[in-house]
Amino acid sequence: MKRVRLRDAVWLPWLVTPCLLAAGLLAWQGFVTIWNVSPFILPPPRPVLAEWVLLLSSARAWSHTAMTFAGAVSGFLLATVLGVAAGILLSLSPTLERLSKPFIVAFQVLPKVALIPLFVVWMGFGLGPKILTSAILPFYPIMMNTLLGIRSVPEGLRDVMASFDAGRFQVLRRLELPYALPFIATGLEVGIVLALVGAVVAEFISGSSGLGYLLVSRINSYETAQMFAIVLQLCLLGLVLYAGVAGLRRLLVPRRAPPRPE
Amino acid sequence: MRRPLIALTEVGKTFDPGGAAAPALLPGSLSIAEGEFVVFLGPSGCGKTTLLRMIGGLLEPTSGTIAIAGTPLWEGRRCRKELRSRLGLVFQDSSLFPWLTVEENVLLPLDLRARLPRAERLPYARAMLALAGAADIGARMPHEISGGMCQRVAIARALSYDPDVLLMDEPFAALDAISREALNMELQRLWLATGKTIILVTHSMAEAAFLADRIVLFTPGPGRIDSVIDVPFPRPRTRDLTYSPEFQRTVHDLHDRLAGLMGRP
Repeated sequence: MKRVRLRDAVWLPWLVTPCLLAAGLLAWQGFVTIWNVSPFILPPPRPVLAEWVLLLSSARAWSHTAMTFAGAVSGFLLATVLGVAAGILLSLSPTLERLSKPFIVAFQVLPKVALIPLFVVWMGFGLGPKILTSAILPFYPIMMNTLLGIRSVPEGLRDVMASFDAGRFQVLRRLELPYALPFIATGLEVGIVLALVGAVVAEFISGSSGLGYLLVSRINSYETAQMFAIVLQLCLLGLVLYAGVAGLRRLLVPRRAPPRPE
Repeated sequence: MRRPLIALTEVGKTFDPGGAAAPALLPGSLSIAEGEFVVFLGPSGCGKTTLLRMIGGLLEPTSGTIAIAGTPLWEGRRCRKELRSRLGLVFQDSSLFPWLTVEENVLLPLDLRARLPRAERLPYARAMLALAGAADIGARMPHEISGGMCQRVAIARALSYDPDVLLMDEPFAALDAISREALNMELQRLWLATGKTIILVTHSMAEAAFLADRIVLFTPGPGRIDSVIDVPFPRPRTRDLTYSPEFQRTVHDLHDRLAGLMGRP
């Protein structure tokens, strides 16, 4: 049985962290009061929190949150399926990887949010551009992590499969994918955050719903406190999405050996 | 005379054909009888592992032929599947799959080859674990058991599809002296019980002298088979044998030959 030190289990998470948070809020309040900052630039913490509570109790705000959630998650699922498939495909042949590398790099260095106006031209102002943007941002890390995981399979384990006369598909299913799972899970953890970025940016441009749309619609009325509240709501949404993927990792990679010291 | 099971005819390997690199193994011939225990002994870089991997169907030879029971193992660059299933491989680092339990590791080749009806596979895997001296740890994960236990599991895994030949690449090199001695005993027992043909690669002279019917001596630079030495001690060999003057003399002779071959006193 591992002994957990009191300091690590209770002090740090339950006392020190809230204290730091309180100190931050106080500093914020102090800054606004002392420098007499206009509430249009930086409202004090109290109205921001009040707006957030209002947001949390408003059905309309939750439906916007749900729209952003739906966009990010659909795009993320699409990216997962396509990214893992593309990673597997590239792992099959070094030639294919070499041939497609310039295109992959070109696509990766392209600021992909620049494509959103095109998506709008193609698909209108609906859910389409949002899902597509949420899909193309996480696609690359998921694909590359899948490829990296499969490439990292030790030669010794490949020899074992060869000595069992395993076919190409058996090697993929029984060795490469299980071995690559922790790599893929890391790709998914990076990806889900990018998917949310994609959804929000798409809503800036093309949305008539969603938290990104809500945020932009507050610009003209200078409702800065509301904007902060929406940012807090996005933070909450990001946390929920990330926790979901981290939970998925525990489900997928349940019985992993700790790295063995050499 | 038992009939030869494995016949090597002028088998050699160059990793860089036509290039400047020295060949990994100069062509050499060897015949191994059914049920024989042969040890490949030599220092690093002498081509013993290369030859074992070629016999195991993992590495194609650049010259010569390898025949198992009269049939060539390699046809061009491809290894004949029906022959490879007669070969069981055990590697130095056990190479168990860390995300599978011990039992699932032993089941893996049975599943892949679909040799037995599904319902019979698990009892059979457990029987193989018991045979290799690793009963009762079937539900454990590989990282939870010792290195010696991992090798027993790897042996059970190789035995699970009932190969005629066990090919073992320095299987006990990473173990401590006590575990190694115990596993040498176990391996002899297993060999006597099953009648498999075993080829074991090692650089330990005592291990070679204890286990082998015949020792194939390799020399480096470039790697080649130097000589074959008969080891006449009766079976089953015991720990007491290893303290006997005859055994010590055999180990001493092996040492002198290897040191002489390497140009050291």
